Amino acid sequence: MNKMSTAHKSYPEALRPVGELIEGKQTYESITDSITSVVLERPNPPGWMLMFVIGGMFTCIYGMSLVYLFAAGTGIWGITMPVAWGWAIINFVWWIGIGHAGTLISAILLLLRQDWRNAINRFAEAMTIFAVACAGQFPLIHMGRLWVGFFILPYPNTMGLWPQFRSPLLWDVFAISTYGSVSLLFWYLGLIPDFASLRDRAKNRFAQLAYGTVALGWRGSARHWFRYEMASLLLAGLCTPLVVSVHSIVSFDFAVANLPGWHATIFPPYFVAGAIYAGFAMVLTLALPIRSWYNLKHIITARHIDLMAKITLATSMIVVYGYAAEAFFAWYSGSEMERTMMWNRIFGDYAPAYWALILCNFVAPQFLWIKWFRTNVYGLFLICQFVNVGMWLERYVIVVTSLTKDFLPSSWGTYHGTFWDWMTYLGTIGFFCFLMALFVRFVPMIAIHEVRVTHHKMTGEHH
Amino acid sequence: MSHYDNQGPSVFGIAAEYDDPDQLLKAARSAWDAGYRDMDAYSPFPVHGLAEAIGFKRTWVQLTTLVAGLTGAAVGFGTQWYATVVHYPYDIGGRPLFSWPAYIPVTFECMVLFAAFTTGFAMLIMNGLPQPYHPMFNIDSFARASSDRFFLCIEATDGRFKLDDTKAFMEKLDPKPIEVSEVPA
Amino acid sequence: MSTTNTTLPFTLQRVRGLAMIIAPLGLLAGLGLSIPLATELDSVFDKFMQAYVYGFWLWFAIPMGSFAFIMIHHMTTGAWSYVSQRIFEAAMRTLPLMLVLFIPILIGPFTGLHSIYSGWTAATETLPEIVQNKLPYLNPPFWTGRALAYFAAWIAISMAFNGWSKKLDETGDALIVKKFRFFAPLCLIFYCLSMTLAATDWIISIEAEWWSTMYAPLTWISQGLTTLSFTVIILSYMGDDKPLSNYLSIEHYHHLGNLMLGFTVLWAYMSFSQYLIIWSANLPEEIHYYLNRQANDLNILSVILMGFHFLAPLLILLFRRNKRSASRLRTIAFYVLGMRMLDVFWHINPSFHHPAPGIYWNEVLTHLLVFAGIGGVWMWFFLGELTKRPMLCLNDPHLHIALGHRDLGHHEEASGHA
Repeated sequence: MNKMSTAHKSYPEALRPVGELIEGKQTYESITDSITSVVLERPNPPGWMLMFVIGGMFTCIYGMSLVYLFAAGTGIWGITMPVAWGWAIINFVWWIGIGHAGTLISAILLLLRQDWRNAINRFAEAMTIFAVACAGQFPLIHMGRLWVGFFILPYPNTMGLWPQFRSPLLWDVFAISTYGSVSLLFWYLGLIPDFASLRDRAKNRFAQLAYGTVALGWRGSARHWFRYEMASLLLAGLCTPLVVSVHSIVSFDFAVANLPGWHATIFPPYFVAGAIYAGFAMVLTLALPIRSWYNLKHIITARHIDLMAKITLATSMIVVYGYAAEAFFAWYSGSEMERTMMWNRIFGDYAPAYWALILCNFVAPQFLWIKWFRTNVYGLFLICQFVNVGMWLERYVIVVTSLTKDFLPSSWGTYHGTFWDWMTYLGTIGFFCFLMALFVRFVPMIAIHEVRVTHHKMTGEHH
Repeated sequence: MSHYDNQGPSVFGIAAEYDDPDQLLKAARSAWDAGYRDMDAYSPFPVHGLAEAIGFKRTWVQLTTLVAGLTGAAVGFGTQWYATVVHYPYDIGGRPLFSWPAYIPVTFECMVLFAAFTTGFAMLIMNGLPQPYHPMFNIDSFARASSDRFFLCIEATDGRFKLDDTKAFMEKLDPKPIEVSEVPA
Repeated sequence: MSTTNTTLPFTLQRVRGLAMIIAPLGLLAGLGLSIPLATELDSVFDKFMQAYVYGFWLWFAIPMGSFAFIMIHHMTTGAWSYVSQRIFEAAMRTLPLMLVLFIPILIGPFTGLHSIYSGWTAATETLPEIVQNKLPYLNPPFWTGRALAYFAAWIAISMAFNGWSKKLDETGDALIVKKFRFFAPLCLIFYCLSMTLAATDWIISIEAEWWSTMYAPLTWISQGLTTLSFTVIILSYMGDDKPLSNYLSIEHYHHLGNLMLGFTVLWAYMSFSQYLIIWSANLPEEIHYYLNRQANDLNILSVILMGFHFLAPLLILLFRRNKRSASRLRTIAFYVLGMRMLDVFWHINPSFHHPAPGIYWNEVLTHLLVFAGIGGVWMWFFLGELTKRPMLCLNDPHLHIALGHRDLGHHEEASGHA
């Protein structure tokens, strides 16, 4: 990449990409230092304190909401007939979608040889795991009786019963648990060499022992790296279809039903694109402030920000295509049910939600065509907030408009979230921030050995 | 081994230290050309061609992935087939008992689950990890092998290994190492 | 730098010569063999046109896939797309020919000369209610107007991009690249939207009651896979001559092979998702589409597609050495194109009038003949276009960066393969 600006002097200035992959004059040591010092020297910037404290507070609120939920039952939520799938499924899909950018960055971009992923993949993978942790709780607490949660697993039981293998809700169980555990594995394997760096640099005995234990005695042997890289590549090859399958299966929750507005064949790719879109917005939401708190702007550079903004824009276009295709084919189908559903969605009781969604997911990302918005951190941060809200609204519109007005007018109804819906939802956001704060504090948030690879490619002999 | 007579069992090998991956690569190639075989190179990030330079060209990790993936798919599909066709056949919405399209998602997830965990653990096991103790950690500067130092170590088990000769060989290596040190066993 | 022409290698010269003979023979034989196929519902010309739509849709995939890839090329500027750029551009320049070839299909709804679209062109009162509801969209004037509009826009865009590319060759004005970068994403969006409507108008509407939002993305992916395979084949014949031979390396085939793998998986993913969703919901207005295609010997074709359009290429393309040899990858590309022929047959043919769902072997024969006939015309024209420009755009300022990486071959090689 560096080649572009040095080796080819004839390359016109106007065509050069924004910034570099690593800014400034760095060495292997300075790279190691700037990342490990975040963990080892504990600077605790005010922004981090704020994230930790507020995240912690909302985690407590989440705990209280859950206690009340298990004591009183799911009636404390706004769920009703016909909307038995309320905020729980909306939040579930929202969270799981956010998680997908992590896998995209770590796996798909690895297969596509996009070196720029090296600076952000760790961070994004952590986000994946915490987002999946938040997502996975909703289907469980949605049962109201958490203690029978194991009913969803295929286990031998005295009644000789099996779970319903033809139902996408069961596919979800397999998809989410596989996704969560494989992401955790991938993340941990990526961390081993970096834990070794921390082990070797830690000054206090406890940190040496702790990081030494999780580093598993990694010593950077060439044989080890060889197998390690092969395993990473294989895992990336497995995670790529996995991440697509997970959100496709989530979309099947809706699409295999025959409810107008849910039953659309485009749902799988459209959900996957939406997930990546939401995820990139969340990566940016977290990365923009954190890289500034910890002075990591030379590693997560303007180039990274620009590229992530471009992917956000590209995926937004796919999502918008999904909206357009749904609307067009609802009309084209000639089916009265489809047409009524689409009319209700756009002009019915929940029309404000639909138009807000169009504003957030269609209008707001259009600014990313302009370079200023892709490189100005404040402008970009603002757009990402629109995306975060927009993707929640998208699921809200899908779930609520279709369920409140299905085939029979006699069963139509309305639905609104309650105070406890809000508290549970905000609680998981707090929980997520809390976990992110802990991650930033105790784990190297950037894959140090991979940034060294980028540095080597930029400065090594064969360039 | 007979060669142990020469240097005693207290030495694991001789290590040369570099501050550049490309120099390490050259040094490893020179050592290989000089006939040394039992050696290892240590770097803070994967250096391409390094494993090949010390004569390590194949790994069986992929094979375990393939076998585990196929096993996982078979287990996933088999469980569903057994549950819905053999053990508890039950008519759901008029769908056939053997509803293969509906089995695909779970089959796929099981395949990935088995394959991914097998790959991860196979890699660790083949690498002999976790391994809390290793002689290389006895060199003080090896703490920098996880940041900015690159090591080549010719091990005492090598047929050509003679403490003084090998040390002299390594000191004369081109490119010149920052330091050459004995690694206590 | 001067613009030089390209000479075709011997094999392709032979192909071009042969194409001129095959074109009239295939079309005439197809028409002739349609005579015994006529039924009460379908005239001789109807039967011929059923095969014609099939052949047209298959060949049409290459210029339109190239259209999309040229936009992706200008957005991502990857090494694999630099070596393929001129093949894509030449294929795009066949779009005016595609318009001419489309005329027999185009005139149908208006004149009633053929009944391909009888699902919605028949008298209104005979149509099912759900189709009657579609008539504001599916009516001959609007349908014809739309088709002409798509072609006008595609040809205009194709001319613009080809013109700039030629200008870059002649003047070396690097800032032309800025135009590419500005318009490419917009044109890619236009491709997606216009192909959605075109696939709906020309293919989905044959089965007038049916619709599926996945069909258009599936069309993009199918066109992409067809184009990639075709590009590999042409590249393998053209790659021995300068300037391509100075730059083309096995890495590019490897990358194209990986893309073929990706598109094969996407094809399966989309086809299966669409199937699973419709199968599970089991709605009367949709399910007949698959019931038709699962009946009798069509079921065998469905299974063949799963096994040989997806599983076999997947396994073959997973192996590195199959992608790192031009001749092997070419063989695989021919095979994939063969599978594309089966897939398009599976999509289109069962929608037409038949006494019972199934494969009708005499129809298969006319399909093949007309496919060869249209292909003859197209190949002759395409290969002619291919010779008009050098095989690389040597003045593109990014070209040397994208293609000059051969000395780092080992680096790239080790860091990524699927």
